[in-house]
Formats: sequence, structure tokens, C-alpha cells
Amino acid sequence: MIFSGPIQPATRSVATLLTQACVILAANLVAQAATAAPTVSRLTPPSELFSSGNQAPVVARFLPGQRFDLQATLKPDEAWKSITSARFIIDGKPVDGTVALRNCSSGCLASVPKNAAIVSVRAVSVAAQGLHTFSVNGTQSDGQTVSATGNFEVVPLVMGGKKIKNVIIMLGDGMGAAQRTAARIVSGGYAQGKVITPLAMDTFPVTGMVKTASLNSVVTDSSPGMTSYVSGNKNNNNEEGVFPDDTADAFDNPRIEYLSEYLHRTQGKALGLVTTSDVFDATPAGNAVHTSSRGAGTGIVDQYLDDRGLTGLAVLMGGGRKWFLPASVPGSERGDKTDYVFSNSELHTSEIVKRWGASPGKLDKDRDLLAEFQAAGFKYAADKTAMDSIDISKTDRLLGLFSYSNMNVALDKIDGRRSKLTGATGRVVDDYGFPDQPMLDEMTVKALSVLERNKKGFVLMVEGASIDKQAHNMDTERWMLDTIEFDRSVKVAQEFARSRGDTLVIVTADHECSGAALIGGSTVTDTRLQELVREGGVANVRDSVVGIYEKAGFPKYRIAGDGYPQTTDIDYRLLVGYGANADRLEDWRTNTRPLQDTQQPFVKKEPLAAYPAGPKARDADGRFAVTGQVPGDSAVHTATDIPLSAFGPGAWSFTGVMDNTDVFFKLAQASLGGVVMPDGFGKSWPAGKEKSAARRKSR
Amino acid sequence: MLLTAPTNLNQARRPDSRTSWCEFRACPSSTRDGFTAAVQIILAIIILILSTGAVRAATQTQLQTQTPESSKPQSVKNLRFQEFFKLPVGPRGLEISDTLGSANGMPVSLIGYMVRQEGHAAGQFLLSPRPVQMSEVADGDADDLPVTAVLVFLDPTQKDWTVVHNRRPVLLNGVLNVGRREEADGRVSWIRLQLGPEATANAHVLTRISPSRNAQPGHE
Repeated sequence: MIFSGPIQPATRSVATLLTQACVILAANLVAQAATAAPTVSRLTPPSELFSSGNQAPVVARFLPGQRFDLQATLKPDEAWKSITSARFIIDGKPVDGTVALRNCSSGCLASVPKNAAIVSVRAVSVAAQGLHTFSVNGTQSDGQTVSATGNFEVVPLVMGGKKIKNVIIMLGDGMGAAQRTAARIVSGGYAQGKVITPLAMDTFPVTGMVKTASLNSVVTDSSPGMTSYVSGNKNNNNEEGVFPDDTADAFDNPRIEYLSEYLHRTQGKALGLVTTSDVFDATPAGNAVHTSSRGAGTGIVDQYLDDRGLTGLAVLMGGGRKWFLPASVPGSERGDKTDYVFSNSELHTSEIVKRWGASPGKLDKDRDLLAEFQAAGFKYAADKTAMDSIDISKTDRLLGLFSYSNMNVALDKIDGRRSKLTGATGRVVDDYGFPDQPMLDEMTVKALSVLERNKKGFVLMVEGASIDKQAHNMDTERWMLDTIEFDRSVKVAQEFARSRGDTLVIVTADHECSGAALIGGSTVTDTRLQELVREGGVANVRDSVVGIYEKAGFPKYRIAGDGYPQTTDIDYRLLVGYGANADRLEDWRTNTRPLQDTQQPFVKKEPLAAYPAGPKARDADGRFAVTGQVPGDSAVHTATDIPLSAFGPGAWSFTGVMDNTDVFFKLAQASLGGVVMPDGFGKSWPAGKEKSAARRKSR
Repeated sequence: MLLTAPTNLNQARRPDSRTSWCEFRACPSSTRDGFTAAVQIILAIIILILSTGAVRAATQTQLQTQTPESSKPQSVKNLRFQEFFKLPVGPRGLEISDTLGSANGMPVSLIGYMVRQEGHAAGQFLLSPRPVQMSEVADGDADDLPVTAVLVFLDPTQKDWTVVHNRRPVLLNGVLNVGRREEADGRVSWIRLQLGPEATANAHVLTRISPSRNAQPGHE
């Protein structure tokens, strides 16, 4: 506004107010500028000390000398300012190593300002045991400084015990107590309340309970579920061997050294990974690959080979051939957008290469990874026949890729084998195009034979992957038989450990899946059940079938010579309900064909064309609808604790209720410090009580 | 029976639309914004009653998924998913069959299932030999998509439309394109089908569509 002439009182009053307002505003701006300061929005390793100011619980824990990345995100207080320098301090002393300062002008999460900086020091380790504090100190372009503090613990090892040579982790994906119990009832049978033939995992001398939460949820997925056991640290869901960060790059996150890497670096141990899933899946990758995206298949399988010098990878078996074929081969899934390459000029990533000794990666969709594995000395098996024909005496490395994606489940593999004996064709494994897939226990035998040749020992992870996948589908009989297949692999590992005396075996899961519960037994024969299903409805399919308490009895499955039930459609069958279920229709009978696993290339062959599409389509005949408690079509993981059983030297440390990250330190203690009894074991009574007991005895 | 009972409806919707209205009918952007559910229902009734060519042209939204055999041009080839590759699988990869190779660049008809996806990309969807549900947000490329899956594109004039998921098999007519291509989302497609503008016309409005219900990631 332009004033001319004398200012009238009213106008003068407005002008005065405006002037006063401007003065106040300016004063506020000055005050804000005086109090504003840069901030630290993320400090890694994660800690409650940084997040909430509380000293406990301590979130990040490491072994003495175990490597991890320090990282922080620093935000300037004004848009025109920047972070010019930073340094990390542990226990008051500056951390050795180049501080990489990456600005967020591009490639950072949308929530991070463009002038923020991500500062890192890669591959740091601390030898001194105990609680440590660490800080990041940053300087802004105007000279202002910022600091933030967190903590972590280096877990003490008790030295002097006899060290184990080999570690075997048997991982039944999604296998909670219900899955174990169901497998026991089906394969072992009960008589007057007593188990006739126990599961191999039931004969392990020690069992504890595991808390499965991840870094960002009480309900974990398979990525942090696995990595907690082999890194000692919590990861976010979907992330493997890394702490969360603020960049979009899936491979640049702050790393944590895996058990395989630590033991290969310090003891020369080899790594074996055996699974029934696609080998790039979260559980196998969570032993060897560092990424925040469990779906980044091209980069994950590349890292298996390229960083084998870090992990000692010697055996890799499962499905997933699609990632190993060059892009020119039809069906190849390799692509640049699921791959990675580190900049050799930007310290943020080049320091990963330099300090970790990791591969820089390459956008190489045309790579023939299958050929490169073979060139690196891996014998390759495309089916069971090829696997069996490999001469172990001349094999130190083995790659087995038995299907295009996930392998078929045990029920269908066994059905294929039995049918082959009778000359029948057109079974599920035939339809999928891979009729000669090995069972998990057969793969385990072969893996152990190869790994045993490494004189310095090994870490082997064997995964029964489809216990989880079929539990997601609420396909009861298929996860039951996959649990039986898994237990047969446990038996292989147990016998190996028993014969050697230097091998620790643990059997556990990464989480429970589906909230499975053994609700009882059928009160009718299978013939009658089929009649009731045809009649349909709740009155027939539920009320006339489900026997609870004593009406459940003891379902009796007859086991064939191959170790699996002759049929799962028996009279008076075991019945399973789901507490984490999606909407479904239930008829209790075995689904004669699997739910569609349409990763498979030949899924549309005629016999498969009639396969049910989803849980609701599958059992539609019975018209017994069960309303889901979760959205979608799949049952979900649960936060329920899971059992862990241990066998061999060091097994006694696995008792009690433990955090999933505790498992790592128990395995490491047995491998590095030697076998010791856990607190509370092997100690005499307190002196006073001992004397009292002696006095009582003398009376 | 898959080959004899194709549904006659797929529908399209805007990428940002919610399920209620566009589960029944795909909406041009100018016709949907700002309408309440009640108005939309009324509009649907009007459309039902006045399903003239002019009205359909104005609200051309639905995917034509069935073309009677008699009305097909002679050159259209009936293609089946099971003819795409050769069996058995060898020790390496897949081999494209002569049938699929010879159909490259040709007009074909194909029956399959729409893939249920979390994210609805505008102007395209996936067709699979079997029903598939994807959890792209959680799993990235760790999905259950068969390699035979066909990436289907709507006509370029309809590139802003999103097709609503339909549980039942659909019959599509379009021009086949075979060969590797890395799509914008990083997924590799090997087989694509380009539909014409007529694909979203002449659909039966009353056919109920299952809403997209997947609100959970599919962790393995």
C-alpha cells in the first residue's frame, strides 16, 4: 500500500499494527535462527539410548571383532545449509577409517531433505567386551555442530572350552509347535497317549523357546527371522544382514557381519545353504547376502558367487534357476532393476568394497551365472540323478538348481516317485516339468558329504521352506508332509553329528505361520466324510465331523516304506484349524492337487489346468466357510514363540526362553570360545544349602 | 472348463480409484471425480437402462473379453499357454516353441486369468494361465508369477485406465509380441499382448467383479 498525504487516525493505527507485527516477526526469526541447530535423525547401530534416551534394552550386540557399519543421517537446520564434516567416536575415542559423507541431493528417501547427509564408517569392530557408547559429531556449513549418542554391547565369550567344528542350522520355515506336533502324530503315531515313533527333532536333548520379533515388528518375516540367528542383531522386515538406512539403494545399507563370514574369516569354515525354495528366497539369502530388499533377485544370486570369498560358500542347493540364466535365455528373470553396482568414486559405497572386501557388483543381466559358478569350481546338478552321480571324492563345491523356481512339495514329489514305480505319468512333478527332484534329506546327505571335506569345518543351513508356504495356503496335508520331510533331514544331520562328536545341530523355525492348531480328530470314516462334504454346510462338514477332546482319539496314519503316509485321507483323520487365517472353505480332505505355484513354467499343462486357484476355490464342495481374521487370501505369520531343539556339544546352552538374537551368540560361543554350561547349570548348591542337605541326609 | 467358460467382462478404472464404483464399472476421469456413492449408483442404473452405443461410447470403460468365434477374423490364432515352451526342461533354461515363435507379431486370442496385483498400473495388467496373487510391495520380484504370464496393454488411447481384477478366466484378442523386455517396474516380460480400443467396449455391466482384497504382504 502506498500512502499519500496526512495519515488518518484509523489508517495510522493499522500502519502501527503492521509495523509492530513486522518487528515481532523479525524478532521471532532472529530468535529461531539463534536456537535452530542441525539434527541427527538416524544413528546406526540402532539403540534405545539414541531413540528414547534409555540405556536399556541394548538393541545391537556383537561378537568381539565382529564387523559392522557405523552410520548416521544428519539434517541441517536450514535449506541453504549443508553438513560439511562428521566423525564417529566410540568410548570417547575417534573411530579409525574414512568417513564417507553422502549428500541426499538424490537417491534418498522422500522423507529426507535434499541437503541432509548420510555419514558412514564401514566395517568397524570392537574387541573389548562390555557395553560401549558411540557418538556421531557433525558440523554444519555455518559452523554449528551436532552430536548424538547411542550404545551397543560386545558380548563376552568364555574361553577355554572345547570348540565345536561344525554348525548345522535346521530351519523349518514357519514351523511352530503345532506343525511339529502334527508331523509327530502323522508319522509317529500314538498309542494310549504315548508316541510310538518320535520325530528325530523330539529326540534332541535340549529344547527352548524363541522370541521371534524383528527390529520393526513383533511379527517377523523370514528375512530378519533368519538373520537374527546368524548375525546376532535385529533387522527390519524384508531386510537381510543390514540395518535400515535412508537411501533407496537396496545394497548400500549398513552391514552386519554374518556368522558364516565371521567364521570363514577367523577359522576358514565353509558355508552350505540347502533349501526347497528358490535359492534367492529370504531364508537362504539371510545367511550370506546383505540387502534391504529380499526381492532383489539378480543382485542376491550374484552376491552369492561374488562374495563367496567372504562367506566361504561351498554348497548351494534348491530351486531358482531363472536367476542364473543370462537375459537372452527365455524365462530368465535377470534384470538391472533387481541388480546393483557400487560407485567406485563415491565413498559411501566404495568403502564397502574397500573395507569389507566385498564385490562392487555390476549391472550384468546378460551374465551366465550358471556357467560362472561352474567356472569357479562348483559341480552343477540339475536333477536328482545328476546330484547322485557327482563324485564326492572330487567335489569341494556344489550347485544344485532342481527347478525353475520353488521346488515341488514333499507330498507331490513322493506321489511322483510312487507313480513312477507303477508306470503312471502326468503327476504333479511331471506337469511342472521337473520329475526328478531330490527330497530335502537327500540334498542334506549330499551337502554334508561335500562340506565334510573342508578340514576347517562348516556352517550348514538346511531349510524346509514349504512348511511355511503351504501353511500360508492353509493346505494342511502339504505342510504336514513337508514337516516330515524336514524331520527326515534333521535325522540326517543328527546322525552326522552323532557320528562325529564335533558338530552342534539346532532345529528351529524363523517364526510360526498361520496360527495352526490341532483341534481334534474326525469322528467319521473318509467315505462318510466325502458324503458329508457332498451334502455340505456347517451341520455336516463341521458339526458331524469335528471330534474334540476324547472324541479326537488317536488318528492312525500308515507309513509306507518311503517314510511317508500311504495316504493322508484316512478314516478318523487329524483335523487342523488356523488362528491367523484368511477367508477359506474347509472340507478337511487332502487337496488332490496343489494350490497353484505359478512360478513354475509349465503350470498350464492340461492336468494342472484343473488345479484349484486359491483357498476358497479349493474346498468349495463342502460349503463350510470359515471367516478369516486377516485380509487377503493367505494365512499370515504370527508373533507366537517357537520351539528350538539342540543336539551335540554346546546343546545345553539352548534351554530356557531366549531372544532370536541370543541363538547367534550361543552358536558363536561353542565355535569360538568352546562349549560351556549355561548359567545355572553344573554349579553346586550354595554352601549353606549344601550343608543343610548333607545334614538331612546324615539323619 | 477353462476353455469353454470365459467370462465376458473385465472392467477398467482409474489408477487412483477405490473399489466401490469401479468394481462395477470403469470410469473416465471426468465422470467419477466428485460423485458420491449414491450418485454413482444412480448413474449406473441410467447406464444400464440407456446402454446405447452413444452412451457406451461416452463412457467406454469396460474390457471386451469375449469375441465369438464367428466374428473373429480368419487370421486370428487361438493360442494356449501350454504351447509356449518345449518340454521337458533341460539343465538350463526354457525353449520357445515354434507355435509361440510363429505367433510373434500376429493377432491371437488367449484365455487366461488376470493376475491379482497390489498396485494397479495404468493401461496394463498381467494375464496368467492360472490365478495368481502378487504381493509386490513386500516381495518385489519374489513372486508367484509364471514365466508364461503375458503383459497385456490397453490401447494407447486408454493408457490412463486401470483394469479391475476379475477372478474368472477371460478371453482376450490382441497382437502378440514375444521377446525379452525390462518394464518400467523392473519386471522382465517375455510375452506381451496389445489390445485394441474395442477391448474395453461392449462388456456386460451387471457382471459382478470381485474387489481387490489383498491388503497384506505375502511373506514367505
